[in-house]
Amino acid sequence: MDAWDELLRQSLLGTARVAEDLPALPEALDGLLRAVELPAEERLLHAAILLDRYRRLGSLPAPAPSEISTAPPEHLPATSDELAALLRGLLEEDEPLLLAELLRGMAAIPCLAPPDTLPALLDLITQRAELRGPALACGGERLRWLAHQHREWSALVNGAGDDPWLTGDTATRVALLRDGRQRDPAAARERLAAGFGQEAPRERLAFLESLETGLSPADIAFLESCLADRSQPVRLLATRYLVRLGGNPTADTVLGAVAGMMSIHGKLRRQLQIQLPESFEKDWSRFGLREKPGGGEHMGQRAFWLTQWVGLVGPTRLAGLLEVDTGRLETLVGRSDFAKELTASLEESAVVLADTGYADWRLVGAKPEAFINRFPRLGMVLPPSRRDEMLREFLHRQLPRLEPTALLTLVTAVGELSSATTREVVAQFPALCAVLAKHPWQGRSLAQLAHHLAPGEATALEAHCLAQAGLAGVNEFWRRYERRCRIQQALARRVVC
Amino acid sequence: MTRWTTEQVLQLAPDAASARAAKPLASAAKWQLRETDGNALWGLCKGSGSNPYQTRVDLAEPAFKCSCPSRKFPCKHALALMLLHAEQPAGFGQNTPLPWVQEWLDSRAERASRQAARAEKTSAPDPQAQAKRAARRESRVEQGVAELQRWLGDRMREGLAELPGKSYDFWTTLAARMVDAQAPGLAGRVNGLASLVGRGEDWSGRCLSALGEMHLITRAWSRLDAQPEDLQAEIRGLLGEPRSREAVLAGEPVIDCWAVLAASLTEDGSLFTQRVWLRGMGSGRFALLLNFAHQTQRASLPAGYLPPRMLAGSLYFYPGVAPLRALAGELEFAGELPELPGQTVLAATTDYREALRRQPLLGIWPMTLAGVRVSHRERRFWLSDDAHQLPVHPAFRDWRLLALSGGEPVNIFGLWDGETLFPRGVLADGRYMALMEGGDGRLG
Repeated sequence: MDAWDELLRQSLLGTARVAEDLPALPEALDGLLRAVELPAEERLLHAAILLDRYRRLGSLPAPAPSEISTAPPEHLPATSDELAALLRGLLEEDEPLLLAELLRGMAAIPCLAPPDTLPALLDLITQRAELRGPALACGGERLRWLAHQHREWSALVNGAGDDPWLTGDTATRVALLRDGRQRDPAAARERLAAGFGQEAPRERLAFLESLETGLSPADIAFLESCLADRSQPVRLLATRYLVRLGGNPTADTVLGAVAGMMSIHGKLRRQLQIQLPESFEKDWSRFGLREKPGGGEHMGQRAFWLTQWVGLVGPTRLAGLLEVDTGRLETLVGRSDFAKELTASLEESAVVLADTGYADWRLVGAKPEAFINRFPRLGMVLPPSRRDEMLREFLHRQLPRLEPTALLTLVTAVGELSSATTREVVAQFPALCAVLAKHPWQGRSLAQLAHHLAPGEATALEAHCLAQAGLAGVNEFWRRYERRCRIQQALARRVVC
Repeated sequence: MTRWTTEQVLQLAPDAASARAAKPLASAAKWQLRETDGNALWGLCKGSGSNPYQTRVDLAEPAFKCSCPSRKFPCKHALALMLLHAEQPAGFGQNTPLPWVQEWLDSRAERASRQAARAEKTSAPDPQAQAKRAARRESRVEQGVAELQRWLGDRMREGLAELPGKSYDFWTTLAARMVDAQAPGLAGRVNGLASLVGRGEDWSGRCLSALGEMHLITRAWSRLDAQPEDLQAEIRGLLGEPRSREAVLAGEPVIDCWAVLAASLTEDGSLFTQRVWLRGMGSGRFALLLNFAHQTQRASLPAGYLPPRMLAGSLYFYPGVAPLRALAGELEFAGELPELPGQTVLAATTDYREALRRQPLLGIWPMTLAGVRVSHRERRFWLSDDAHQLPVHPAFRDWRLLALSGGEPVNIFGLWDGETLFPRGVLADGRYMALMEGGDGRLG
């Protein structure tokens, strides 16, 4: 025990309990201590402060370590001062959507986030996994290096040599798969197939959904193998893809089965003749069909089997089987005994089977309320340009009657509107504000709308917003839109540089 | 003309909500008028009423006035006008101040000269009354010191192990008695000691050191006349004896170009304390400016001390052995910090030891280190040059330091407490960035 430890021990116990001599101090201090006459408790304090200062005066800094980690060199260029300032500002404020837009834009260039923003970026992606990809892209080598030195951040990034397909979370792996399917569908499928059986059921379904990107007859063999999967949703989805592709035994079997259940009779007034299945065949479960309806499915068991079969085929193929067009099919189904069940099944299957013809037909000419209900689902099936065009046409006719929340729901289905559709919204902005005035609690929906309009309409929108500044949500809408415009301009300037 | 950057303007905001509210107003469309004469800005901002708000800003201090009903200071209009000037200075017309602006500027100038006249008037005190007050104060302090000495003796008799069991009142009563004895510095140490007890692994060791320091102060006070004059001034300062601003300002100014390296604002009950660390680029001297304001007078604190600004002019140091605390004289904005000279770890700590030798009760010691590499291990940061390393204070959690340095050599400004350094700023890639506040809670 050294002198300080001994002093500490005596101090902790107290001089009333411990009547011991002070420990031996270095000679210089001993002399100073002996020079003063003090009671025991003061001598203890005196010795403590003398020794404390003596040690501080005599202590030298420790030798430097032999190795210190440094960040690897960067391969990407730095961002512009303008983008750096925008990023710093958004990281301080709670603006996840604007931040996402900026980070995705910077990742697309690509350019590096300034080093002082890296800790905030790492904190951000611990809470918002969807920003991980762009944040990692903008953070460069230094962000990964930094993360590896922090206990909580190190789990966010992969070490050099780690394969994100093996170590990433589901969202990352799905994104990788979709990306891979765009670049090399066969290689992505092979990679998926290699470990497919070892994945959890939910993951298997998510990965199978991403196979829709680049779906082609080359995928048939893998999809056929999925018919033996333990998970019913996986088998169902695989069957639907096989029917969609056609030219395979499964598709033929399914189409043949449905053709046996439905036919058209009558000459003048044609009717849909439905032959409900008598029993549930065991091998039907191979196609993902269920024997019993679920809790929320209120229908007879045989009708349930029928709707499942119809759901495998989809509206356009069913129309083809019956040799009618989509409009006629709709009429026939509507007059049948199972109108409600079949309509719901057809609509659901149209989304899964990407039945663009049916979706387009179902939306065009739909009454406004029906359009608002159908568009968020069926609209997703349409090609993006057609989706945007359809919405624009609808807004041209109906926007003055739309509440902001309904408008936001429709617009969210499109994502970012085209310039033409944005101009349509801007042109009718006063009418939208007139509706908002009657529903002021929907101001938040209006503010959210700012994230969907194409930048470039700032001048017109600013004038409208100034005129309506007193309405709830308008100022916030303008603030977000204006920031988005600044972000896009800064990104464009950076690209030019 | 004083130019303010966007970041500096946002730091003037009284709270985050004001900064957020100002940003949408920093748009040309919101202002019917924006003009400047180089020293002041003024504008008319459309509000919810029929008349626009008249907003004025004096860029030098800065100072603000707006006709809006907001009680915040500066209001969002003043902040927005400054933001707009920072981002789009060309959008401001050059003009002489309008009557409602000139009236405000004139009233400010008049108030300043009235205050100066009042200061002159009150600086001629009655010597007899002064001597009486001083004697009364000395007597109270002596009683307070004697009471503290007895208290220290009681603790050492009882043993430090008893301290964690003491009640909250045990500490607050003694601290209050030190305040009554006109020794607020001792009260601060009592409160500091209370916050140490029972906390962390080596609380007893730190406690013993703190008690030893209090013992040293009381003994030094008892033999004050035997100390050199500069050490007497330090000891009086440690007790918290108020020192006359006029006397300090009557001293010899130190004229230099002062770099603002760190600034912090803390709130303790009803008092705001502003701490500003400066370094003279010519002299290499460090200085600490301390400004206080009641919680309702936050806006009265000077707003121009923002890192990495440079301020040219004079500081007046309080007397002492190794004085850090100073008062600001005339200071003018002189651009931004171009570089940060520093020392090796060994040289900086040697300077500290030399200062400690001369003033054994030295508290926080500022230092700038050159070419140090930052690393993180054993759950804390470390700073290393080629030969030596220093541990960073465990409370320092600003990972920007490591991110900015990337493990490469950088120059750092920090506050050394004798065992650990609290980094307050780093120069990396030619840019100085202030880091998290902290490390200056205990001052010598």
